Amino acid sequence: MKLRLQRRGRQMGKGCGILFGVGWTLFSSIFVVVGLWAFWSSEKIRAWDELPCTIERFEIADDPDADPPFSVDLLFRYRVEGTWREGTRLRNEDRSGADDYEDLVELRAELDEPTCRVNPENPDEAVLLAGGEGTWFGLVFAAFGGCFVLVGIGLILNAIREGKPSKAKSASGDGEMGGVLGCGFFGLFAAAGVGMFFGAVVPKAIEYFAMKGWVETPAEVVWSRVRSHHDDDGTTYSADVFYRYEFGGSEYRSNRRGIMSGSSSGRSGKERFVRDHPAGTGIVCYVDPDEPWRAVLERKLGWWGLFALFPLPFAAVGLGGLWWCFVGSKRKAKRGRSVSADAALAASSPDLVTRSGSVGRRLLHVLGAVAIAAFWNGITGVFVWQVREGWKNGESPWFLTLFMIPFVLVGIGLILHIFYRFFAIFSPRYAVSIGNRHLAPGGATEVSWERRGGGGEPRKLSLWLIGREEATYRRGTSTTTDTAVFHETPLFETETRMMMPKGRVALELPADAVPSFRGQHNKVRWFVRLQADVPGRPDVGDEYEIEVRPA
Amino acid sequence: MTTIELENDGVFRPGETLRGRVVLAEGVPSRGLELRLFWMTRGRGTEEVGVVGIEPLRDFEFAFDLPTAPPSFSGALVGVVWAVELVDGDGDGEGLAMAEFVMAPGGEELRLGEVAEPQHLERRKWWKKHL
Repeated sequence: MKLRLQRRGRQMGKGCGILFGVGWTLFSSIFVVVGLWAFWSSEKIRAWDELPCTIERFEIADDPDADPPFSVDLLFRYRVEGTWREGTRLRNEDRSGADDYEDLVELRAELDEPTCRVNPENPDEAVLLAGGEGTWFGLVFAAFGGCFVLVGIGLILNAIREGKPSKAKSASGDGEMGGVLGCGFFGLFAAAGVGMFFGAVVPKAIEYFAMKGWVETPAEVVWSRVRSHHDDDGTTYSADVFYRYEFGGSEYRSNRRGIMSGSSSGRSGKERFVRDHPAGTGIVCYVDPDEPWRAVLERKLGWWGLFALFPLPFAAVGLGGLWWCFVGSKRKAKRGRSVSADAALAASSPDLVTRSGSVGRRLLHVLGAVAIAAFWNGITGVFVWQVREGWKNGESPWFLTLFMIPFVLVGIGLILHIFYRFFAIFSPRYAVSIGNRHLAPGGATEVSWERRGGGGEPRKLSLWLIGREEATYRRGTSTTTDTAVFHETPLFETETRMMMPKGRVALELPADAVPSFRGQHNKVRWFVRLQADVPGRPDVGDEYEIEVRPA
Repeated sequence: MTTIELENDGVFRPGETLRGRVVLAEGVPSRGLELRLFWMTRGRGTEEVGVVGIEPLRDFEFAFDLPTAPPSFSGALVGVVWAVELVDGDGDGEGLAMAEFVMAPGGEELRLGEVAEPQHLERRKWWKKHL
């Protein structure tokens, strides 16, 4: 009866899991479709006929009251079926203007032997440039959507597989399902981090170092204004300065202020800058001697330089997770693939090697704490910056401030944890030897310890025999491991300083001790634990696993 | 209804021979059936299965040499249960019947205790520790 109820429950769970996975996949597919449609809309012009053309006029007009402020006055001629025709469209998109003057100047410089794209169904319709902004946007959007679809497929396959536990078969397939889910989930992070790093950070870094060789040149402000940018998150502002300068006997114009363009929520600072730089003001710019149409007013990075760190946590999490999916989990699966009873005991598993409190392991803990704190505080910091800007400009963002308080507190806790882990490096270190690490229930052996370094004098030293269950399970795309102590026996305890640096004690397993069990997700493990209570330093709690064989 | 009957009231010791017989329901063909001996985990962790032996069904009686481990046990989070299942080997592997049994020294399922408040995990309040 219990079995039937369990089977029915599993079937219901399987159905819900499949339904959820299908819904997730369908919803994610929308992003893929939208991305591919945007890509196709932008790129379909390439299917048009490519014909040579003559550019009669390519003038960049500027209008400080327009948005975007720069547009192209274009006229080109092309010949189709013996008839000359004219075109005025730069791209297939409605928005042919640009926020950055430099972009249009570079475009003009690239049109040496221009060709245009002509609609074969309507020869009067032609554009000068085939691609558009939608090309990259479409590809990136579709790629992100594809990762979500992969996660959805993993959820469906996982649900199908978990719905058949009564069929006695190997459990190795579970790792495969986890791999599909993990690939999708970590692939997202890796794509975001690596994409941002190589797509944005690296080119900007190269440009930043190249700018050190740019030539200081006097310039004059043509116009300046504060520009508003509206989106769902609110309004941000930027100071837009259009200036002209002479270099190599030619006049150039630009509105590029620094290496990074962007906007932020504070308006007063931008207004102050614009007030200080009215039309006709003499300023200094830095000009690229190899491409004189490129110039900036400021060469320093400022706070924007910190955004170079933004993609790193995503790349670390994503690439680390993908490594685990392709390499780490397969190594674990290899050890546990032979699911015979003996393999479940992991008779000679390398994981049973003495796990001493070495400096190397403690350093790894520090690095782990740093990685987690950097990831958490990196993301939280972006929102804290927004809160700061809001208060600075008198907007009183109370809701966001209160919302961010718990995240900031967690971030502070993670930073303090780094210091805790760092100080733990200098806590006392012990080497523990266990005479026979493979015991049967009722078996006995000897445990000895010796202090090998570290600072501080423990107030108390104790050794324990610990038995612990570990159960790992998946919740959505995350994995959780619960533990419970089922056995605890003190082997030795002292507060006498002379007895702490070195000693030995007998270890006797209970006659009814449950043998060690090491499945992929379920474990019963036995440890000898050395514990030292050290005043003024993090305590020592080192565990040394022993294997309890069946009687 | 197809059933599996085990000797010794379904209680065995590690290393013993598990014997039993299969009673097929009416209309169930006996060809292509096989018996699988396996352990499975129960509890909070993701369920795992370890197939220890597979035998085609002959004469409706069967025997398996039991291994020495893992023994049947149950804990707060993790448990191991032994069972033998009759499966349609020729079809889609549908399970036709299953019988759980206990395999443990002493003939009783081992039970893990639970230490509600482990002393080795107690921490002195930090202000007492550092005063």
